[in-house]
Amino acid sequence: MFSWGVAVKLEHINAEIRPRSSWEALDLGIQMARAWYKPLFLTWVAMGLPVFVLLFLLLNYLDLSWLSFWLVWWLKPLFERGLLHLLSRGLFEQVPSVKQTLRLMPGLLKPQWIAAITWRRLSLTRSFDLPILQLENLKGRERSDRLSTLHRESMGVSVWLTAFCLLAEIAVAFAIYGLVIMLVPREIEIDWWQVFSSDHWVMNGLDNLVAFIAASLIAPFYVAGGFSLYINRRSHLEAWDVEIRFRKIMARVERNNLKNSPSSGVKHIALILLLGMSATIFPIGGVEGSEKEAVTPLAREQVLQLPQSISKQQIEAVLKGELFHELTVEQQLDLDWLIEFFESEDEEETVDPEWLKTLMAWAENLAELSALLAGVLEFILWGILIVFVLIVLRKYSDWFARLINTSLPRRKQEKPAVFMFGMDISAQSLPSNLIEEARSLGERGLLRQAVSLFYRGALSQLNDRLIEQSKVPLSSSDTEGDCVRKITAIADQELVLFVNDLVAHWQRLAYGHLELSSIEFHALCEAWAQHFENGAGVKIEAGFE
Amino acid sequence: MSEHSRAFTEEQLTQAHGLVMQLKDSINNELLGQENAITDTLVALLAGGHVLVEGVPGLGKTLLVRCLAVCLGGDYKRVQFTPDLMPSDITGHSIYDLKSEHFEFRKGPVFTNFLLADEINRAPAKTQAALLEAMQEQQVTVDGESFSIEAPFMVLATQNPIEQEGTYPLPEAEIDRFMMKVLIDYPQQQDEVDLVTAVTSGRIKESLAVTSQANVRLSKKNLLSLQNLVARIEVDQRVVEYSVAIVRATRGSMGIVHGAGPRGSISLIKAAKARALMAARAYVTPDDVKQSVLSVLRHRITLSADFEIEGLSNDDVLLRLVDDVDAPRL
Repeated sequence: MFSWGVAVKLEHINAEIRPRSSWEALDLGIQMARAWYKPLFLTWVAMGLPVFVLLFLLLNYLDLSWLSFWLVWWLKPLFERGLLHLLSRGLFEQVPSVKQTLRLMPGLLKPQWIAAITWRRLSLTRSFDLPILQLENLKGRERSDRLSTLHRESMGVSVWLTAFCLLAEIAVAFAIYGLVIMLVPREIEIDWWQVFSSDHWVMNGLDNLVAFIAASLIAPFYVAGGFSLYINRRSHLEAWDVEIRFRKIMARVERNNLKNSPSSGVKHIALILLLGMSATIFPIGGVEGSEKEAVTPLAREQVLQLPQSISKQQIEAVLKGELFHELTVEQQLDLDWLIEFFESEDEEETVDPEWLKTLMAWAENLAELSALLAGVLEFILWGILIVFVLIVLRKYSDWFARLINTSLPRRKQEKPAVFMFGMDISAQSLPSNLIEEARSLGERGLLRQAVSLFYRGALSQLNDRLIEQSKVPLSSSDTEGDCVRKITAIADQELVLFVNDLVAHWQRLAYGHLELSSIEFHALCEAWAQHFENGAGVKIEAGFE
Repeated sequence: MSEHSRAFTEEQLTQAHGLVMQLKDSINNELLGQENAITDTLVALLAGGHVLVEGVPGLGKTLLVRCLAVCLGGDYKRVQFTPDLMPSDITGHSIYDLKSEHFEFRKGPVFTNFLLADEINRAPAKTQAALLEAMQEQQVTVDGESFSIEAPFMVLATQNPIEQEGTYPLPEAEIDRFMMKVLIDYPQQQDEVDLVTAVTSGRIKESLAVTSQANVRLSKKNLLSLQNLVARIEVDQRVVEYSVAIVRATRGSMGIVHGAGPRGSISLIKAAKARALMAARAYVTPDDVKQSVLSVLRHRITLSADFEIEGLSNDDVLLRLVDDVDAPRL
C-alpha cells in the first residue's frame, strides 16, 4: 500500500478533489505553492543555502568557485524532497513547520537518493515522479509498473512543467541582473560586460548566488506542480472524488445520528452499504490507514503478489467467459417511440418513394461536393499559410539572419588565394624554370604574359611567406596595392622596392595597356632572378625580415 | 615604354599632376591636419562633382571651401541656409523693370563657380531642392526660362552631424547628386599642435580669412583643362566591372535598406580617374576605385534600423562589403 509516512485522510483534504485535466491540475499546484509559499521557500533555503555556501567556500579554495551552483543544481532533487513532504502534509493535514520538516529530512532523503542524483537526475518528469518515489515506497518492478501506469497521462504536461520552470529560472536570473543594472545611477559608468565576464571569485560568487536565488524562487512551483499532477492522476485512477463524497455523506449522517434519535437506522445501513459498494467498485485503495475501513477492499499487494501464471490464467478465463462477450446497454434513452414509428412506416411502405431517392442522391452529391470543396479549401489555406510564412521569412530575413549570426556580415575567412585577378598563383601552375619561360615569352613579343608570369611567381612565393609569418595571406579581394601593403609588412626594403616596381609594370600593362621596352623587360628579368628562386613553389629565404 | 594611342601626352600628364599637387599643398598649408578631406575634395573638383562636407563645428569646413575658391581664382559665393530661406534666394527671381517695362531676371548666388551652401540641412526641403537642377544640369529654370551656369561649377555643402534639432535631412534625390560625402574629423595631435601654433603666431588668421600664401594657382581655364584630362584617363573594362560589382553589392547586402544606384558607379569611376591623375597615372587601377569607395558611397546607402541601433556606421559596413568583392580579374 502506498505509504505517506502517516495515514492519509481523504476526508481532511485541504483542496477540492475532482477529476481535472492535467493543465487544471497544474493550476491547482500553482495555487498550492502560492498558498504555502513561505514555508516552502524557507524549507528550500534552509536546506540549500548551507550546502551552497559550504560548496562555494570549498570550491573557491580549489579555484573552482564557478562550480558551486552547478553542484547545488545537481543536488536539487534531494532538496525537493522536503518541499514535497511539506506539500503532502499540507494537503491532507496541517502544514508542518520548517523545523519539523528539516528534522525528518534524513528519513526523507533515504529512498532512491542515489537514483535521484544519477540516472533519474535529468528526467524531464522529475517533479511528477518524485511523489511516486518518495511517498509510495515501492520497489523494483512494482515501482516501474506504477510509474508506467501514472505516466500514461499527464506525462507531457509534467515535461512542459520542467521546461517552463527552467525558463522561469533563467528569466528570474536575468531579471535580477537587470534590476542591479537599473539601480546603478547613470552617472556611474560601468563596463557591465567586463564585470559579468570577470573570472574574479567575488563575481563568480555573485553569479552563483543569483542563480541559486532564481532556483529557490521557482522550486516551490515546480514541486507543487508535479505533486498536483500526481494527485490528479491518482484521483482519476482511484476515484478519490467519489470516495471523498461518500465519506462526507457518512460523516454527516453520523453527526445527524448523534444529534437525533437513532431511529434512522435504515438510512444508516443503506449508506454503509453504499459506501461498501463504492469501495468494491474502486478496489485499489488510495487511503492507507484510514480510520475506518467500512469494507475490506481487494488489497493491491495481493493483486501484485499473485504469480504471473495465475494472473494470466485468470485473464484468459475472463476473456473466454460468456459474460465478457455479452453486450449490455446500461444506459439507454427512451427511444422506443421512435423505433415504433419507423417500424410502422416500414410496414406500411416497404419501397422507398422516388422523391426520397432523389433527395438522398442529391444529398449524397452535395456531400461529395462539399468534401471536394473542403479539400480544395484546405489546399488553398495551406498554400496561403506557406506563402505567408515565406513572405515573413523573406521580409525579416535580415532579422532572422542576425538572430542566428553575429551583427555584421562576417568577413570572409581569409583563405590562401589560389586564383587572384583571374590568375592561378598556385605553385603547381607555374613552370619549373620560370625565368626561362618568361624570357621565351618576351622574345616572342608576349610581354604581358611574361610579366604576368613574374607577377604570379612573386605572389605565389610571397603568399606562402605571408601565411607563415603574418598569418594574413593574400585574398581575392586584395588589389595590387593591398598586396604590396601586406608584403611591405614582412619584407625588407630592397624586396619591397622590387615588388613595387613589378606591380607598377604589371599595372601599366594590364590597366594602362602600355607596352614595356625590351630593356625594361630584361632589367625586370634580372631583378626577379635576384629576389626569387627560379622554380615554382620554392620559398625564398633571403630578403625577409 | 611606348605610348599607346592616347589623347594626351606624358608631358601633359606630368604638368597636370604638378598643378594639382601645387594646389593641394597650397590648401594643406591653410587647413592643417585635414589631408584626407582635402584630397577627397580635390578629387571631386577634378571629376566635376559636388561635395557634401560633414563635420562638427570648428574643424574648418568653411575654410576648406574658401581656400579652394581662392586658390582656383573663380567666383565664390556663400549662402547660409536657414529655415526661412526661399528657393528664389538661391536661384534668383524675375523683377519688373519700370524703365524697360519688362521682367528682368536677377541671378541668385547659384550663378557662380563655387557655391558654398553652409549648413544646408537647416533649410526646408523645397529650398534644398532648388539646387537639384543646378547640380545635375548646370542650369536654372525660372519662369519657364533656363539659364545656364558658367563652368566650372561646384557646390560644396556643409552640414553638422550633431545639432539635429531644427534641421531637415537632405532628400535622397539631392544626396545622390553629391559625388562625395567628405568627413572632416578632429586632427591628429601633432597637426593640432601645428594648427594652434600657426593661429596663435598669426600665420593663419582665426577669422577664417585665407592668407596671402594661398595664392591663385589655377585659372578657370586650367581647371577646365584638368577636368577634361581626367575625363580622358583610361579605364579598363574590368575596372569598370569592379566598381559596378561594389555598387551592386550594396543593394543585396544584409543591413543595408537602400543601396547605391547607377550614379554611384559613375561617380566611383569618375573619382577613380581623378585619383589616377593625382597619382600621375594615365590609367585607373582597382586601388583608385577602392580608395574612393567610402567617400563616394557612404551617403548613398541607408542602414537598417538594427544596424544603426548597434552603432555601426556606413563606413563600417562598406569596408566589410569591399572585402567581399573580388578584385578585377585580368
